[in-house]
Amino acid sequence: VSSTDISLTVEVAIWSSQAALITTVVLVVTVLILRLRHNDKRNRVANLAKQWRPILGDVVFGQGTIPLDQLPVLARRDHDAFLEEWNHAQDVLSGKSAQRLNAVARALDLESEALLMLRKRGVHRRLLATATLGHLQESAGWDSIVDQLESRNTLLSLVSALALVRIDADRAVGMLGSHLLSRTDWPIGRIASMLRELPPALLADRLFPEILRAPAERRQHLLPLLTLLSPSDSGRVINDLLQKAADEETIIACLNAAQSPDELPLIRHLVRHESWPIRMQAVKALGRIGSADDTPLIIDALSDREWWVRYRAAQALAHLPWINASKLREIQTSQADHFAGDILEHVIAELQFA
Amino acid sequence: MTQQELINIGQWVFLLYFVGINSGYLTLNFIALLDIRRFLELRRATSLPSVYSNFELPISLLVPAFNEEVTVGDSVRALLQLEYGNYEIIVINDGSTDDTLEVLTKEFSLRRFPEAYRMRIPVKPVNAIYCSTLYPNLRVIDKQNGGKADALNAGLNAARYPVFCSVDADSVLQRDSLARVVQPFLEDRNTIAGGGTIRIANGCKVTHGFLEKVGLPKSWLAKFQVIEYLRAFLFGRLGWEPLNALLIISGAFGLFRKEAVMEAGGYRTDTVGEDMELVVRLHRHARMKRKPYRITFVPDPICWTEVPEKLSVLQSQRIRWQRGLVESLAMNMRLCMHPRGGIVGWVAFPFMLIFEMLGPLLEVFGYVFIILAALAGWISYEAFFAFLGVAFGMGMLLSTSALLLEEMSFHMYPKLRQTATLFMVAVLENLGYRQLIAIWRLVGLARSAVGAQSKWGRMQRKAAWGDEGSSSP
Repeated sequence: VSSTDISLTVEVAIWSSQAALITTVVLVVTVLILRLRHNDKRNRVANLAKQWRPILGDVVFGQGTIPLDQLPVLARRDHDAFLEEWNHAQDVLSGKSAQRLNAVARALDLESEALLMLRKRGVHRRLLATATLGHLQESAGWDSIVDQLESRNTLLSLVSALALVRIDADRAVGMLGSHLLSRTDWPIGRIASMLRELPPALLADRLFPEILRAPAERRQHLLPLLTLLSPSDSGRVINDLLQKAADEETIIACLNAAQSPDELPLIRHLVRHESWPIRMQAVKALGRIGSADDTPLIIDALSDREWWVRYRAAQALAHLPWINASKLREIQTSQADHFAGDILEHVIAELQFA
Repeated sequence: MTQQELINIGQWVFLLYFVGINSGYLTLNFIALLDIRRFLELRRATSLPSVYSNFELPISLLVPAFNEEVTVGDSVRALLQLEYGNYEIIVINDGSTDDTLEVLTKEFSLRRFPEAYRMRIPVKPVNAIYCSTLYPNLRVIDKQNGGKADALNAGLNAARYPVFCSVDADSVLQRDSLARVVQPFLEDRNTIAGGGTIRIANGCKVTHGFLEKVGLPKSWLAKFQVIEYLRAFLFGRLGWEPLNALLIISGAFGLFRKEAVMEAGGYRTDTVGEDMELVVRLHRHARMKRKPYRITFVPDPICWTEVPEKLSVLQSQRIRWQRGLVESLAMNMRLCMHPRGGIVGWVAFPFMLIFEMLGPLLEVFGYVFIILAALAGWISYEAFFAFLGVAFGMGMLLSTSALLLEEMSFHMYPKLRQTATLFMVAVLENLGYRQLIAIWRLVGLARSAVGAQSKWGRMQRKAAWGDEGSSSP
């Protein structure tokens, strides 16, 4: 080891510390610039809200004290902030109020601005433009929005799907089917929320057949949408799936969704399935749609080896319309199996506390 | 080996350690910078289809409590007011010797409940289970003392919902904290655990268990910890998250898929860092079984906690945290560089091992060596100041980059004066505070080596909430 190495370490140390110091100074300046810009933007947004909220309120409530051709001029740099405010208002409005807000946007020529924004690179501006065009039901941007459906950005693809539904539900359904199956990144809760904007007939005739053709894994994931969005059409589908499906997840999803007594023969059979999650869901379904003849089956399940099956059986029993409190207590005291007695005791106490 | 060679090696160790650890953190900072942009996009997005309420995941909140008679009433009352559709609260009284149970019984009108308690994970005997007659979603498990991990396991046995959230009894939560932290679970079915940013409540105004106004603490010791928490969460966690290599979710507030935790065996009771150990074990289990999984982090500040303002309390906390870290890594060493370890096994784990676990040893050794070498005349004063410059400069750079991330995202400290104070803290913490922490961590490392017994951290509160429940920030 030579003295050259020693001076090298010192040199590296000096350079490193100087680089760190200079970068720190740059960061401090950046933070200060960001802070100033943030404060400036905050003030502008506050002024914008102060000026426009009364006007938008006036329009939304249809008071018409300010004619649309006499609206204040909206500075170009305020377009983004205004559209954010406008979209937030649209998200909670519907019917005539929403149409009146649309009239304000058109009077300010914001649909042209939104079409321009669709071509920008920044995701935030494209999101804003897509949402705006959706609310405006403006079909001029249709093709660009369809392209965005393919975006790897989940947010952009979802907002685009919703905008398409709003612009032209009939055309949108044709495209959404395949995306519902392929976009595993679309959360089911958000899909449900989006599909609720579609007319039920479109869902039942065009979208549900697509879901049923899906591979088992995707289908069981989307199955809850059936009963939620179109309960009247779900019975036939569920019955069909319960007969054919072999995978546990699909059976569970069907049992969860079962609403009709037509499915009872299949459900009774599943109470003795080897998989405990299936037994548990079957017992729950029996409690929901079963008849008085199913009571012994549910009582049997009180002695199941799995705690959750026993618990759901006790809950199902307690909520059967033909079982009152004294009858429930009678069943509890007559149980030879102490696990069955304990779980009923637990559920009886729950009822008393509720 | 000659003296000169030893000096040279010492200098290189010092230099490489500081440059290495800080380069690592700067890389994480860069990743966090990209990730926070994506997160902010989602936050700002308008007209995104909302999550339909039927698809909300019900959550079991597990609140372990040990001698919490002063605060438990307020804490539970705040939890009952969280903005979330479907959740239950299970308070686990872990053999408190004060009036915790009596306070709960009186305030929430508890009555003994004949629960068919299912012991999926063995725990210390349960004395009784109580249910509130005022709030049907509140239950209290009274059990014999077994430590925080044992209390959480007892709650886990009684939890009814598929996702559970461990919360320290003294945490101050945002009203929408559950709704925010559950998002990754709704968006990806493979998510098995998730955490959020913990911020410091000292200096803030808290009313009835909720945060009303954000402020900086008056105490300098707490101010130093504000910067530390910013560093730990804004890039310490956010940097690892996109790589699915996050090894820590704070015990103060973390969300987990119950079955994943049950399969892994629940919380381990033989470590002081049960929260970190669980997360590392979840990684290990999923990796070894080749199961797809995600462990996520939401950068939103969703939980506020009080930090120590006394040196003695801070000292015991940091020793505990270091022991928790060492134990968590030691118990899951199989994950390190395992062929199926992925980024977590090949990058995050070794990083934690070298820079976080052994780091204090190298850091303290480095400082001692440089000071001794300068005093003994082995190195020039120019070299001495150059090495200190690296340590201080890199430290300031990291802290400032955390402030940049904060400025780009949440603006929790909006006044210019607060920003100036934080810059000052970022400089001053390098002049003693960081070195002190390194020494305490070294003590923690040493105590791990001799294997001291684990037990509940004694709570020492100044305001209405404490800080010692979790194993790390």
